[in-house]
Amino acid sequence: MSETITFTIDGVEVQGRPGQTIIQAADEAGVYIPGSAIRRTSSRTGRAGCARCW
Amino acid sequence: MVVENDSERLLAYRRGIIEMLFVEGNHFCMFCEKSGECELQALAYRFGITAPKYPYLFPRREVDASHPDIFIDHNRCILCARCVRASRDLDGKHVFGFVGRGPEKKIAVNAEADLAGTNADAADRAMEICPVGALMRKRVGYAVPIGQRTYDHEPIGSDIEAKRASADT
Repeated sequence: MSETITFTIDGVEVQGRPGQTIIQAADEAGVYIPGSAIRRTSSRTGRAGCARCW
Repeated sequence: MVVENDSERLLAYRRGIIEMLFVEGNHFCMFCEKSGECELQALAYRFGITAPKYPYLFPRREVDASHPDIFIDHNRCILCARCVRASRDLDGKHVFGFVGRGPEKKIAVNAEADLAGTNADAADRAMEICPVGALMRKRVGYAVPIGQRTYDHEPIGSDIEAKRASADT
């Protein structure tokens, strides 16, 4: 699993892995995207509830 | 790919959504035992929301305190579905689900009547993931005093941003 996806968020270059959400990759890189519904449960089903994180 | 996150336009949308979350429920931080640990309150502080520009709806919502060890206060629920997913995916129990649509939408429990009729337990993972004060354990309120709680010390998101700060140095 060495494949990475590179993107830029707020001017910061971030490395993501296939299957990750943008928020998960941003979290790991230290870029905060506000949102509660998508955090702290399971990655498989985490998804936006109120659209605050959009 | 370029992702836009911290822009004025997005911040304005986010402030609007956070304000709507406040006015469509009954969120009285000053006497809520979740104060200082609440993600909704913390987001409002982080984004500088002192008072919402939308009118408060003051909906009539129920409190289900039937269970001996836990309770649901629907006044504070923001319908994030974390408890639904945690109970299903982490606890393997399916205690919570949604019923109703639009302003009538709310968390329901998998029982004939109320929370006391479910197999929910205070030790369930679902009990610790509520971002607000809607799903709470009994008899542990204010164990950590106001002023010494997570978001009393630093804004929400600081833990994530600290990773970048340490990577930069």
